[in-house]
Amino acid sequence: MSDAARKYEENMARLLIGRRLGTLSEEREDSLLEGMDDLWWAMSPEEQQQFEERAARFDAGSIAESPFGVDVEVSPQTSVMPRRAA
Amino acid sequence: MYISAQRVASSSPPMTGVNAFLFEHGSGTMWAGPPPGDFMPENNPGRLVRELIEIRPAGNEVHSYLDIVSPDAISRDHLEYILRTVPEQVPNIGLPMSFVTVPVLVRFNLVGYLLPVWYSELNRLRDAALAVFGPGLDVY
Repeated sequence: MSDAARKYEENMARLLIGRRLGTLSEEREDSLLEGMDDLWWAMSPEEQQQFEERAARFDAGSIAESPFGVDVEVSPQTSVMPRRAA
Repeated sequence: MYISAQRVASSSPPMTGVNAFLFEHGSGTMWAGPPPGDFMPENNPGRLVRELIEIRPAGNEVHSYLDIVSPDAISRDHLEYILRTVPEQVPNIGLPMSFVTVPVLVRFNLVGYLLPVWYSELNRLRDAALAVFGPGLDVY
């Protein structure tokens, strides 16, 4: 994977997470999208195709929209998983 | 041994990050096939020996996770090798993904909004899992 492809996916993740949390300002989102556009055209046609295939690989309807519960503080004295159902 | 790397999101302030935890089961935890139920994290995660925290736990939403269950004595090279094969397994198995490369169990899942970036999310969790594993457990 080229540097451009890796950064494109990382920025896409930032964009999706920022939108989900509502932490992206309009200017920041515009800046991210602009940078992603440059990265997209720096990727090879094969990398572009790979990304599109991976992104379309799963049917969104089959994936949970709700978080997997909440995280839990753990310590050497406890023996519990670091997450539990909400 | 149990490693969990999970993306969590706090609501106040709205932030996200990946926390990773390394648990050990202790001496004598060896098995030949898939991990026995006695060593599955839901029943017995083991004792926490290391953690890497980006977002202070508790009560944050969990948006993705990568779980690894293995005998304590697994080497760093072996773990890296197994985790390198995970991305190619995901499209075959689907999500939530759970597969065994004897004697190791790997599980991965994420919430729908991260679906377009499942590949980079998996790599992010894998890097956190390897970071918390470090050179491995001192089992000898």
